[in-house]
Amino acid sequence: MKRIAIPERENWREAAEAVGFGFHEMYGEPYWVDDAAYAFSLAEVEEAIEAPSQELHDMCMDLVADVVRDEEALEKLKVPDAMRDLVAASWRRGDRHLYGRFDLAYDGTGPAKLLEYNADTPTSIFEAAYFQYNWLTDNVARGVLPEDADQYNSIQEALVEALATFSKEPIFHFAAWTESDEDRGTAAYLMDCAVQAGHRTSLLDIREIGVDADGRFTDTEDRVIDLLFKLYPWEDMLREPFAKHLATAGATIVEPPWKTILSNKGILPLLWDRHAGHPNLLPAFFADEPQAASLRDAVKKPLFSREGENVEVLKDGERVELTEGSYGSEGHVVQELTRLFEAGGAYAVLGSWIVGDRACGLGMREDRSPITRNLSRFVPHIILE
Amino acid sequence: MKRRFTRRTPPILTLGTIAATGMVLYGCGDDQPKEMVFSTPQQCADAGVDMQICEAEYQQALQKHLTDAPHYASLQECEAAMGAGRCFQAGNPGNQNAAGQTSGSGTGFFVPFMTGYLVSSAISSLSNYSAYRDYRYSSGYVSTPIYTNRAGDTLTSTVEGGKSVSRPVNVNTRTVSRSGFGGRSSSRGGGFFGG
Repeated sequence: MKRIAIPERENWREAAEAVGFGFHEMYGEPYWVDDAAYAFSLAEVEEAIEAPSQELHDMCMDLVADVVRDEEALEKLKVPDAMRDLVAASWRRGDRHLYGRFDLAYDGTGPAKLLEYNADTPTSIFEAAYFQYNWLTDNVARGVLPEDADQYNSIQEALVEALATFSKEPIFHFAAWTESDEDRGTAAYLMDCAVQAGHRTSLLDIREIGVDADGRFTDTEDRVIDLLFKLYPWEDMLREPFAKHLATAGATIVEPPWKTILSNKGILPLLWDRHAGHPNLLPAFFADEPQAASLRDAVKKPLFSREGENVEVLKDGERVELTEGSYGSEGHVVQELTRLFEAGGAYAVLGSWIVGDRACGLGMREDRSPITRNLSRFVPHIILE
Repeated sequence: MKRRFTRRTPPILTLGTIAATGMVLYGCGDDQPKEMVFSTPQQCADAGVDMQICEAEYQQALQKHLTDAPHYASLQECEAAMGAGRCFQAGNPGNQNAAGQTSGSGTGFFVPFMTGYLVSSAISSLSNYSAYRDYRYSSGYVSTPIYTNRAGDTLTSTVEGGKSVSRPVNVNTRTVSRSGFGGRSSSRGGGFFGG
């Protein structure tokens, strides 16, 4: 694994705008990096990233099977009482899921370590699946990269395949926070994949979802919603006014309710408890467990934080860094601090994609701080040997 | 090294752009491509879709109608669900004409007439039959027969456990309340869930 310089494509901004990738700049900072890349060997991708990601996902699925039947665990994960049957029923029915992203720490030496699983509302998929792929084919075409340069990226193919397994009878509704370019773009990209899989689709804002007198969800044209993808967190949906309709609405929702278990940082201590010493796991405990204090160099994260908010870094038991945010009231986990790949003052985290149940691709993000936040930058990767 | 994951051409975007997809399908009014229900191929062609595509879609829906239409044991039972004059006796495909109507007096079950077929937004934007064939081949898309029930709701039919059952899809209803989701995110400033 190394970070290499690549001459940027002269027209990449126009290419980005042309496909609607308007968020290549966010908050006035460049978000997409076109003049650098992370280079891996095929063996490194297969052995250090792909195989462990597959194994971690399989471990997570086994964990869900047990947690849905375990009141104590559901309590630790703060799944609301009234919603536990809904979550368990969605697992028992075998409600299909679509995608998730593991964030892994890997610096080219030793095993990759699981930082967290964004299993419910992961973004940066358009960048990883589509624009990064474009970057590769462009650079091969103009002779900057060799003809046999590869990329760990079957993401779009896998998305179309996974989306094709959902019923094509009803309209596939896509709900997101549409004022956010990133969220709307992510939903629109997944919608495009759904169209490729043969679906009829429609996009709406999460706040526009209505209910009718029978408690069924409705769209803006007063049609019943039968199949819904939502880029909106389950931990919020389960606590909002329409939660009471979820059990009776009759809609198939993607990600399914049981994904609320995997997107919870509480799976980190639960996984460690089941697989202590696993090479791809870091020691982790719930903050209120006595063992939590034994981790002197550690990261303390809220159960539900997104975008690296409210994360605290401890060194020798003392707080050395704390990010702002509005999460944390539901509790925290403490996870042992690990080393990230560092180059030129930037820290890199690997986003390893699971689509359906298959590990199928990689997106690299780097940040000037060891806590990856929404100011991070996306850097393409290649497999060179 | 042999490439294991990628090809030499990037993946496609059917709708061209993720921004336009968002804009076009998200409430930009009259020019948005929508799925459309037609009762005849001519009506479909009149709406600006290629005639060959309209025909192919109709034939596919009809095929699906003949195999998957909801079954009823008697005319009374069928009409009770679908409305008077909306059913015919099936079970003897040889007697059916193109519209699925039967002329003989077979001894089979009763099914509703297909009242229309559904052309998807993706299909209606394709410019010619060859693009349509490619799309169908790669996506496995099949057009859908549409039925109308007694109450005027749009129904489709699916085969479940070897038995055809009719099921309302995206029925029209009346919304009594909105904004029941999104509140917690609003209170945090909205958006950005990727982590």
